[in-house]
Amino acid sequence: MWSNTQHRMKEEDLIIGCVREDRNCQKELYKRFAGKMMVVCLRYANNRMEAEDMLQDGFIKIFDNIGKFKMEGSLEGWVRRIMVNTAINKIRANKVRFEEISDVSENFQDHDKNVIDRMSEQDILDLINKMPQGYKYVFNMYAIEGFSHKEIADSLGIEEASSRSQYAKAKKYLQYQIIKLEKINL
Amino acid sequence: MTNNQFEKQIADKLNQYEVQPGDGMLDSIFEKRAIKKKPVGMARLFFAAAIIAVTVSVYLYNENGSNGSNDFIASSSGTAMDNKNPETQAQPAHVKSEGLNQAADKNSQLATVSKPGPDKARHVATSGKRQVTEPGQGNRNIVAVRATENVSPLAKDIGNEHTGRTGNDMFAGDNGDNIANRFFDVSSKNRPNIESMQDKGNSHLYVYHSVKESVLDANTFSSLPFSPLSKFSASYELENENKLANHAPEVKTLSRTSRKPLFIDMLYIPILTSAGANGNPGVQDYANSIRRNSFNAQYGVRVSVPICNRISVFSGLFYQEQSNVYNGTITKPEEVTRVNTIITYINDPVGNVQQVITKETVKIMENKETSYDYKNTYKLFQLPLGLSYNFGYKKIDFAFNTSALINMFSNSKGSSLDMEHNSTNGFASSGKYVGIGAGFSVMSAIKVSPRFKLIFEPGIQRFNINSMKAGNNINEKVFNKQLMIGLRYSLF
Repeated sequence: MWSNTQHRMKEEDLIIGCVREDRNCQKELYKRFAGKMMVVCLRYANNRMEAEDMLQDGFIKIFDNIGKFKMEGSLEGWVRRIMVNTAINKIRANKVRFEEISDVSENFQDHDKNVIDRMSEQDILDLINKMPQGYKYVFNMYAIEGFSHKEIADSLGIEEASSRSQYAKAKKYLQYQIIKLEKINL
Repeated sequence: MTNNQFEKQIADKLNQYEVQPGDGMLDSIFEKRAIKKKPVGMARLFFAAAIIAVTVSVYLYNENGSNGSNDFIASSSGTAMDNKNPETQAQPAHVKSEGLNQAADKNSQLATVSKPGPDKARHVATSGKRQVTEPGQGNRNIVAVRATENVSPLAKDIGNEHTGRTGNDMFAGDNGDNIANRFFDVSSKNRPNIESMQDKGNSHLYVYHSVKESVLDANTFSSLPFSPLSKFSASYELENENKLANHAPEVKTLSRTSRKPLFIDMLYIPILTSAGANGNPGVQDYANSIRRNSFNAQYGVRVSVPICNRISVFSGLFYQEQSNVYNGTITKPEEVTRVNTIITYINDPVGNVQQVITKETVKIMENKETSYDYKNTYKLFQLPLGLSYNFGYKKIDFAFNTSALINMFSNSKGSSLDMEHNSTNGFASSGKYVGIGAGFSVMSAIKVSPRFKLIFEPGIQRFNINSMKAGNNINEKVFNKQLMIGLRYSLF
């Protein structure tokens, strides 16, 4: 309890410091979240360079708007949301193409439940990045960020039904790729 | 494993994962923030252009207004009292009748009247609009025309006849604006009464009459060291003066060059859109075969300023969500593989009659029908730059408006035809793109109050949307048939 309070206080100090443009506090905030946010950006970007651009823009927004953060919620959640929005804006500025790929038929449920646990995070990240763009964005936004299909449809400028179908296919595709990778590893 | 577990596992795994960005990232963030300037986006440029258009219009209007004021001073201020001139003293009615023009400073008021005093009969014949006042009352009888309008020839007659000097001479060294302000520095209680008003089309004439005595007493003669009116003891010819008082003021249609109003139109525009495709021969014919009409709505503000007698220029800013609908079935010949089965029988001496099945694969062209139903939407800001030809009939204003349209599109989203796979691909872009177009409309404006008119303006517009830049595989050409409905506010 004490450590939580202490941590909370530190977070508040950090925010206040960032509002005052204290360089040390900004560095601390960056160190605290840069690694996780880089993963967020990598999930949306086509390559590392693009991800770093997203990260940079996201942190600029975070530092510019840190004063608007209400101390009620989690700072990480707020930072993550800004980063995701930045990434989405970036991909929207580019052309988003929703491609169809041939159906995959293998049933994931038939396989080992712990297959994901056995996989490394980097492997999962790579599999997500190998998905077609449309699949990747919808899967990221729905499965990981927790957006609703309506929000996804509004953000990406597609129909809600398209978001649902893209997600279903993306999930199936990812499961298939996971099984394939597992078989190769075996 | 349930579906939710799968997502949760992936999310948990990735949310805990960290990848450190490259070195120097933080420094570049600080650097970028330090030199960060707000980019001048297209939207800002667009608004700036609209504001400039409005500002220029207002400037032109004001410029014109101040010219009008000067005209007034030049023509109406040419009269002054010269108490030292016995001839002037012998013409009390003249001096009194021009009392309203005594807005000049003390020196001006004491300027010499160079022309010998004409006889009263002549003066009456010239001015023709006097009211009779009792001596010593300080009453001033005048026809005054609002500063921005043409001054009645009467006022010029009055001024020049008695002084032989021009208004500019009289007020040499004084600021014209000050004079005008002094002249019109009347609070609501002292404001001149409107004697008559006439409207026809875009022309408006207000004739003011009979300024209140208190205004003149207080403002005009306060600086004199004596009471000028007490010197005028001659009797009046009431008969003639009464004729003048009853003389109806001459109503004159004002020319636009001397008085330019500013019209501000607030418009709502229902639109029937026909969109078509171009820019991609492989797809455009198919897209055009399924294009449909759609309803859109636009709203915005337009400002117009007359530049000469019947011509005015206008600009403004409009916004709409343009949506182009495609719905229908496309029939396309396609190569399909067909397997033909040929059954033959052979008479085998050993096995008797046997059936032989031969399958041959052939490729044939077959018409394939695919149904499509989608729409492409764009946010559209439109800046028209146009010319109007204006005319009036009875109390209705008419205008032919023609304009060049500068369009800015953003938030493009929709679908593009994929004829190879007989399907559509989605596209979305928040990029901002500029296009041009042209418009033509016929305006009719009906007066509903002195300053407001109701506008009905059917028209057409034609412009292109460069949606290939936004990810579509065709550009869209838009033909809008529209009816502008709105209110015109006239600013004078």
